[in-house]
Amino acid sequence: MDRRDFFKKSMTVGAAVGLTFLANNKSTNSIFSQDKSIGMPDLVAIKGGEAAAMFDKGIDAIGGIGRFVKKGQTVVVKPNIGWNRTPEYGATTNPLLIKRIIEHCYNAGAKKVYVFDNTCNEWSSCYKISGIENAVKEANGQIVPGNSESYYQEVIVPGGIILKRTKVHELILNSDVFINVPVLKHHGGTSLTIAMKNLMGVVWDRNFYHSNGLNQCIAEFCLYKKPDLNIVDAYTVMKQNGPRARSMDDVSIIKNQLISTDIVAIDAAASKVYGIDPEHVGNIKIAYNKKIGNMNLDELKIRKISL
Amino acid sequence: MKLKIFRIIFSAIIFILFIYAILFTNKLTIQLTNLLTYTQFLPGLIKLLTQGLYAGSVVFIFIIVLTFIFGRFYCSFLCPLGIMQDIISSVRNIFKIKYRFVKPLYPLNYAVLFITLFTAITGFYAVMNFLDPYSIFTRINTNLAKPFLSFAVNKFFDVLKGFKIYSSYFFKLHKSNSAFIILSLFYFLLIAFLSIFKGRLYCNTICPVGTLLGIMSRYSMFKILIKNENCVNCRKCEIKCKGGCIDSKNEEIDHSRCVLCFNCLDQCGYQAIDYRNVFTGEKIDEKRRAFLLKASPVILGALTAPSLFLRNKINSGILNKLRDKKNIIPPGSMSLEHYSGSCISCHLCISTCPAKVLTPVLLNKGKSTLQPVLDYNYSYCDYECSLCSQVCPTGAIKPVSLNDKKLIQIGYIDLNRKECIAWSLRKDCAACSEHCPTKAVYMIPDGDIYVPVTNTDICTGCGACEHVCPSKPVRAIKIIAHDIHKKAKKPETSPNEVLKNFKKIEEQKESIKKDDFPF
Repeated sequence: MDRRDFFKKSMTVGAAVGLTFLANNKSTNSIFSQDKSIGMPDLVAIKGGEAAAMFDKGIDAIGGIGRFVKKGQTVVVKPNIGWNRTPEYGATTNPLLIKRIIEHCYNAGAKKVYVFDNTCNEWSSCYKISGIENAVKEANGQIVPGNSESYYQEVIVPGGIILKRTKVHELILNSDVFINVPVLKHHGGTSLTIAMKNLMGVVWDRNFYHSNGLNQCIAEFCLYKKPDLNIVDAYTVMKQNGPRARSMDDVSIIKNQLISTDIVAIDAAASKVYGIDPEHVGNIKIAYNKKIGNMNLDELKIRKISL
Repeated sequence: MKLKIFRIIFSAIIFILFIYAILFTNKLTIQLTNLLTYTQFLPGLIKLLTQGLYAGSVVFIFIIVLTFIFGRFYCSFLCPLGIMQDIISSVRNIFKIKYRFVKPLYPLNYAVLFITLFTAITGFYAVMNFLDPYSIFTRINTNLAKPFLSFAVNKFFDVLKGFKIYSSYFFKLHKSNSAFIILSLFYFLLIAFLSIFKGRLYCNTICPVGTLLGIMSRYSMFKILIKNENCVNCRKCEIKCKGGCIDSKNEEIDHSRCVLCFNCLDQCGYQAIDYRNVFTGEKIDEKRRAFLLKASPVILGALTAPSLFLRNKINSGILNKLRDKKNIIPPGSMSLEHYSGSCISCHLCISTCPAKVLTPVLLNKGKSTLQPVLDYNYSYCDYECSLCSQVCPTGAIKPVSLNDKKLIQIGYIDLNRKECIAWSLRKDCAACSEHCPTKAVYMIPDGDIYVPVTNTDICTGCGACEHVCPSKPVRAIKIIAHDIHKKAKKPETSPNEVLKNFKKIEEQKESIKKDDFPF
């Protein structure tokens, strides 16, 4: 009963927020959004539903998409499209989730929603086989290539010890809202790849990360930019042989989803969902020590929703 | 009139389809390429010799039979290089430049054909591959037109990007090798020059396929003939003949050089020239046919016979010494012996390869020149792709299904721990294991980091690990080529060692069943 009550409230709050955004102009929006973030959960964990349905519930619980996307803004959604694998392998983000996120953004009045990734396999096959290109087109989003260096502009990483400067995709620099949508999966080098690791797909020179300490660079990139919103897709989870998977034996369907503004918290929670202590994931520990976010889940306000 | 228009329409369709099939890669072009290359002379001949009778070689035999009936129709109707020359030489019409009869250069014709045959049979394909018209055409498109177009299109998209228009596709170019760009440019300019100033001179003096078909067309059933009693020696037909084979002064036509463009037919105002069956109607005068010309195929055969005996000597001895590096050849090509014995260097696979890992080399171990090999410095072979095997016109890369291709080992992984960033510098890297599709290289915990170890049995040699290895200047992980391809073991599905550090899968499944969250 308690939970249902809370849910109803959050629904009305979400609707109210959405409506006020539609009604007000930009200057008042920022004040409202600050107000709304107080009292909101730090992390929302949802389980037991389809990816799109879980997102519908989860985004309401964290204050609605309107908390992040204002009318007339441009949004960049960064899924994991790293490999030319079909969606059931969980090597790439669930395309149905991406589609739903884009729809929410447009409902909140977004001007344009862009989607891209600097893929590992040949980009056009990744975009196609992962089903994401199609999902984006169905939702009227704009799929953007990330395979040409001309898209990337050099930025300075403040406080970076190893990763001092790097080239970042111009959409990350120019868009108003940055939504990070990784998929939770096993990774040979970093134990797990979640939200912070997914940001490797917005830089041009990934080899620098590999040759100078993968975990350190992954954590340090967040000193430059943290996404406005992180959504971890843990619907289909690759348990082993990540990040590409050898066969369907490597894959489990666990129907989980996490939403948070704190990239370290969401990674910590996701590693618990996977079944390992966040202490064992190098980049989470480094990021916590650099005060990028909080990995102590006990200190966070977490909303748990079962469908 | 009718025949000429039919020829123009037919050849235009063939040409457009060729350009489309080479410059673009999609499901349709894969099928289209197969259909088009069935009609090509050298691929058909190679297929017939190496693989015996089947769909492709039936078309080839059909073309031979048709040549004996109609003459050298191949050169005007099917040969893309011939059609290209016709298109280029049409600028002559604007300036109304006239052709004229060219005296035959039979010694040159037969010398080139002889050298081509002799070297090809001994196992040295260089001359054949350099001169074959189909290969020249596809090479020009792959090495010149396609990179140029992709570059231009990419630049255009760069401009669009400035206006925030992102509906663009960046094309990956294959490794631009200046030698091949220059070679293709040279070919293109040479053939363009010849076709503008001399018509089909390349086809009638150098092209070995043209010479071979020319020999056949001497005996063809249908020929373009001059009726001596009607002819007034006005030269109207001669000035339109791009083959330079109409000698209107002597009222004769050199049928070995006639490419059946039919441009001459509608020029005559005296019904003195027509295309008809020589075995019906009046007998033609054959007095000028020298014995030597009639016997030329026999002489040619007799001369090339010794090449068979030189075959092994040249194969194993001289040419092997010329190669400097063991190159990796594409999956489906079975062995270097088979690959270099069938590849005519048409570079269609290079054009098709989505990963652009195929790159031509000047001399591969074995017989062929300009052969495509896999360059892991530039890219790697996509595990989910076997397109090169599906477009190869000669079966040098045998068609393999994707599932079969995933079990072909074209080379094997070799890890040098001294160069490895993880092993020697103690830094997290995992680039190789991340990209490995079979986990032939996988990470194990070693202290506080993960280090790569290898399992060569399941390695396909795709080169993803080598390509991404960030170790510089020497890569820590390399693929060693197999001269004869092996079968890779199917990756076992049991959990690998990495998982031992984490919860067992069964425990995970238990936790999933519970309704609560792990935090």
